[in-house]
Amino acid sequence: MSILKSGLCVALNDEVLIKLRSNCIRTNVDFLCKDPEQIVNITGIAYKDVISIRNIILAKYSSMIVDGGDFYHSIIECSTILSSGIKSLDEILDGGLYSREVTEIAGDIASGKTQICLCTCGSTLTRGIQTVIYIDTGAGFSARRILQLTPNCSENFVSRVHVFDVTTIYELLSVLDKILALCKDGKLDFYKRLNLLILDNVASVVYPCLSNGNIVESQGLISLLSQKLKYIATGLSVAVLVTNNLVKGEHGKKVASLGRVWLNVPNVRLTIEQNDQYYKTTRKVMVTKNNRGKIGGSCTINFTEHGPIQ
Amino acid sequence: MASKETGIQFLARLGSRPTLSGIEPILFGTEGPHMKDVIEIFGEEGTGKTEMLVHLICRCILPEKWNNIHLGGRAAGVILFDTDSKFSILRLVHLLEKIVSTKMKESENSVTINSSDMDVFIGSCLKRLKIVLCYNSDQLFITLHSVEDLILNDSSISVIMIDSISSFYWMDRQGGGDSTAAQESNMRNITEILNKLVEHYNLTVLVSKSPMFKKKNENQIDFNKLNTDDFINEDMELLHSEFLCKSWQRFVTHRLVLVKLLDSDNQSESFIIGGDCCHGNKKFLINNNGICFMS
Repeated sequence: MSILKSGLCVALNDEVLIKLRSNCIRTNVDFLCKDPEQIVNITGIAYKDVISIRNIILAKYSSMIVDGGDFYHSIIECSTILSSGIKSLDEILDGGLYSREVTEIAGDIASGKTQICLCTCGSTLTRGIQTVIYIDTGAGFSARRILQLTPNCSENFVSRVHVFDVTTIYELLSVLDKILALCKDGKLDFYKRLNLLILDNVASVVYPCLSNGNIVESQGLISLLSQKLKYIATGLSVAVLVTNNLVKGEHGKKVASLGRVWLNVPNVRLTIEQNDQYYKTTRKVMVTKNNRGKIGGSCTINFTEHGPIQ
Repeated sequence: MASKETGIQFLARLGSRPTLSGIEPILFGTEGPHMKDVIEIFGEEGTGKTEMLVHLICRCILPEKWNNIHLGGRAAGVILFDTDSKFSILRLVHLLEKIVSTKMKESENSVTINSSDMDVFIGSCLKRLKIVLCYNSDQLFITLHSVEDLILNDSSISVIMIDSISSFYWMDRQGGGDSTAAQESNMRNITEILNKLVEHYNLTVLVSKSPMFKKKNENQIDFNKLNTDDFINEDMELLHSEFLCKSWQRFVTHRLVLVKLLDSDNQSESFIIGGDCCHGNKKFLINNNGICFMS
């Protein structure tokens, strides 16, 4: 909620501001709630000035209203599809990870979530000059593993990954704010070329705030986090890849963790099927949510110790 | 503004906007949805709410007829508020092309349409859709104020869609501190401005809503039936739980509730929709061609 401040426009000077405040109009939402004529009546500010303040607020704080045709063309022009580096996975995802979307990989411990992240990271690095941000909450990032997993990836490619280590949700939110600010600023080449943001693993920073018992605060933080991730995805045209754990759901089925608010967040969700035999290297991956196509597609991935994933 | 209005507002109010009646007879009957209807589409995650809205957008923005092909649309303008950043325009274009090509095959007089004509036509349909991305409830509220000019100037706009109205629920509750009135103030303001737009310009509102809490009296519903087709006779309203403010509850006129059936094989996912505006629950599938209702 933004407070009305002088300097927003010429008509909103200190004198007008005092008149508004004495009538309990403090924020721009308060201002818009009231009819312009009503504001004139109760405060005695000139009608012309009220209208011009109103128009400035509307112009400055409302979102862009985009025509469907223009929206389509801008999507066609600036969206990219990033290969995950795993052929069978790309096939069930209609080509790979789409920019402007949040893709989630949900799976149990040791089911290969981080491996898929590293593989996607490596495959993005070998394509052109794109950069990757890897937000690591569990110390799972390994540059050596990326080199192992990606055939054409050399050591200087890996310099195009920035790794952020975060341990709490507050740190995560401030890192996301920093990334947003630097991208908007547009001065650094790294942030101009940003194409992929990986968050591995979201659950480990959110769990601690779920356990403090205050549902309003924890759900509020999850909503805030999801809006920030979505803003990075859609506002900067970046592909966002998030990993998450699985928990037992309402009907005994395994679902992604973090509750119903989070369940709505990803555009595409991949679920790695549970496998009791951890020593086996194959995992079955299934599309369990997809906003732009069919769900239910599945593939089997073989994680090998050396070399790329088959 | 209720007492007096400008000439442009007067004309916009009286001018005829495209009607939506009969847009999807399976859901709304042959008459509905009416002007000033506020329809809520309620369902858990992954029950096809966004897909249902995309399906209805197709029906709205396609014209009745094109090149002698009966498309059954209404050529109505839609303003879509995407608060979840979930809307995929690629999916919409894909579905529009599917509908046109299917109807083309069905029509008796064999018309052939080349792809560039098709692109121009799809482009003309997309012009009727306006997309707004919002990331917090203040922004949604302020943008609802600024779309009034657009509605005034474009007499084809007859629908406002919000996907979804519940996105900012927890952020608002967290921001409002201990006072329920403060927690709900943004939602009340949003309802108020939506109400004003609906009343002044005879619009129809369609919103999606996801549950934020576990249903309290859930044991009234036999979830074992979810495995079978018997669930089609359940009262869908039992699944609904309200959490938004009172003024929003008064504002809503109809509600559709969606549920996903637990099928043994994951290859075909089927859903059930029901509510006070459709006669009996309906089963549907979602596949590459969008929503397919089963008879």
